[in-house]
Amino acid sequence: MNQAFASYLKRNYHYYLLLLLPMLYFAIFRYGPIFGNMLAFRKYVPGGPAYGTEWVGLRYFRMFLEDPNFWVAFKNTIILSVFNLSITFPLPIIFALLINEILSSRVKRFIQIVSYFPNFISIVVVVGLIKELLSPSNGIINHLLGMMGIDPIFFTNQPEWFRTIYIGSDIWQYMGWNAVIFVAALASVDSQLYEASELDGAGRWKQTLHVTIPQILPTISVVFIISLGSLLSLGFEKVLLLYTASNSSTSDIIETFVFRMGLENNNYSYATAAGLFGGIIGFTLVSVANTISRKISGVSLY
Amino acid sequence: MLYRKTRGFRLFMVFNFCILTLVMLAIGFPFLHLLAVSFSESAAILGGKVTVYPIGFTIDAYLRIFDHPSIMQGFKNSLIQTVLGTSISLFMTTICAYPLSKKFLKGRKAFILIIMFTMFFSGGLIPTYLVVKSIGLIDTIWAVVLPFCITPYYLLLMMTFFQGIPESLEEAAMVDGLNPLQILFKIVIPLSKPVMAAITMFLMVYYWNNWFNSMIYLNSSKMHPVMMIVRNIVAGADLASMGSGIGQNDINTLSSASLKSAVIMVTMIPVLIVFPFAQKHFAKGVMLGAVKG
Repeated sequence: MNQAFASYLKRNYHYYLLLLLPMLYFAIFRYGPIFGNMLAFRKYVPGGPAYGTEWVGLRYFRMFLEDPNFWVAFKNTIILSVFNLSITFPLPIIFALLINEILSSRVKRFIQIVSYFPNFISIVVVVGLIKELLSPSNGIINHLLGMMGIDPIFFTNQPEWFRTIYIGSDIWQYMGWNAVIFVAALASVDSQLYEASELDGAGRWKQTLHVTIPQILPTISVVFIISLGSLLSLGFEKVLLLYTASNSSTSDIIETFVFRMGLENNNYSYATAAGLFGGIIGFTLVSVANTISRKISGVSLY
Repeated sequence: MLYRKTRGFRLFMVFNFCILTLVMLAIGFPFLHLLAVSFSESAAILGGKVTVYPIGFTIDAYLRIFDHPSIMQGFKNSLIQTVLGTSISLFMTTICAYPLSKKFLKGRKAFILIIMFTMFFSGGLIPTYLVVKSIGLIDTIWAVVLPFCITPYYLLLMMTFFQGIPESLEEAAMVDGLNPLQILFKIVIPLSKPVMAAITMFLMVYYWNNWFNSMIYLNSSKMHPVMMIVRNIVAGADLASMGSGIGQNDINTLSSASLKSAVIMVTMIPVLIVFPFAQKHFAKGVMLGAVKG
C-alpha cells in the first residue's frame, strides 16, 4: 500500500508541484480574507494585527443593526436587486428571439457584435457617458428637454432617478452580452422540429411558443438560477461612482455602506460585520436557489 | 417556408427591423455623441448644438491630452498593470488548471471544492484590504495584480478545455520520456491556443478597465492607471487641479466637456483595437462555459 503510494507520488509529483503556487494564492488571498471575517467579532486597533486584538462578541452586529443608515442601505439593496433582475433578465431573451428572426447571418453577426461591445467598456467610462449625457448644464438629454420647455433635471443627483439610471445603464451595457448564450441556444434548436410543426400548420408565432421557447427553456433556467444566486451582488463599482450625498437615500447599498464605514471612516470591525451579514445573505440565496432548482428541474450548479 | 409569405409575418419583420435598429442606435448613440463632443468647440457644446457630428471641428482636446504629463503617465501605468496582471493571471491559471484536469489525481476533488467555495463566498472588501495591507503590498503594483490573479471561472474554462485534449497525445509524450511539466509547456499549451486567447482577452480587458483596486491600494497618484484619472474626472474633480497642463486660459478656450470626452474616448482605443480580433474568442469563451454549465 505504502509502496504503491510512493510510486504514485514518484510518477505524479510534478502535478502537485504545479499546484503549490496556486494553492498558496488561494490560502493567502481567498481564504485569508474569509478567515479575516472574524474581525467582525473582534476589536481592531489601528496599527494592530489584521485579525484584531480581543473578542467582543456581537457588539458590532448590534451596532449596525441599530443603525438606521444600515437599514436604508439594506432596503435599497433588496429593491434595486429585485427590480434589476426582473427587468434585465427577460430582456436578453427577447432580444435573442428577435435576432433569431433575422434571415441574413451577416446582419445577425453585426447586431450581435455591436450589442455586446459595451460589455467590454470600463464601468468608469460608462458612468462618464451617463454623466455627460445627463449633465444639467451641457448634457444632450437636458437640451432636448429644454427644447420641449422642461427645466433641466439634475438626474445624477436626484434620488428618484438613481434606480432608473442604474438599471437603464445595465441594460445598455449587458443586454447584448447576456443574449449571446441565448442566441447560441436558439441556433442549436433542431430545424426538423420547425419543419414538423410547419406541416402541422403552425405559424411563426405558434412555433415560437411551442417549439422555440420549450427548446431553450433549460438554458433559461440555468441562467436564471445563476442570476438568482448572485441577486444581491449588484454592480458595486457603478453604484459607488453614481453615489452622491444627495442621492444617497436610494443609492446607498450594503457594499457602499461597508466601503464608507471601512475604508473612508476606518471602522474596520464595524464594516466587516456589515459586509459579513450581506455575504451570508448572498450565500444563503445561492444555496436556496440551487436546492429549489435541483428539486424542481434537476439542474444545479454544484 | 410557408409562414414567410403571410401578411402577419411581413408585418412582424418590419416591426422587428424597427426595434433592432432602435436598439443599435441606442447602443451606438452615447459613443457617437461623445466622439462628436470631443472634436467640437466649446461654444457649440454649451449651446447644445452637438449631436452625433462635430461642430466647429477642433482637435485641441486631443492635443491637450498628449501634452498632459499625468494622463500620459496614467497610460504607461495602465499598460504596465495590464501586461503584468495578464501574464501572472494566465500563468497561475494554467499551472492550476492543468493538474486539476487530470481525473486520476489524488485529492483533485478536495482542491476543486476549495476553489469552488471561493466562487460563492468571498472574504469581502475589508478583510481582503486588511490581508493585502498586512503583507505589505499597499502602494506596490502587486496589490493590483496579485489579489485577484486566479478567477475560478476562467480556471474551470481552462480545465474543461484541457480535458478535451486527446489523452493519447500526452501518453505518447510520456513514453518518449517527457515529464508532466514538459508535456504541459511543450504539448498542452500549444494545443490550447483558443482557450488561452479567449482568457487572455478577458484578462486584458479586466486589468485595463480596472480602477477600484488602484484607488484603494495605491495612495500615490503617480502610480494610478488612466482609468483612475477618468474616475477623478467622473467624480467631479475639476480639471484645473489635475495637473499643470491646463491653465485658466485653456479652460476659457476649451470646454471641459470636450476634454472629458476626449479622455474617455482615448481610454477606449485599446479595447476598440483588440475587440475585432477578439470578439470571436469572447463568444467562444462564453460557449465553452455554457457546455459545462
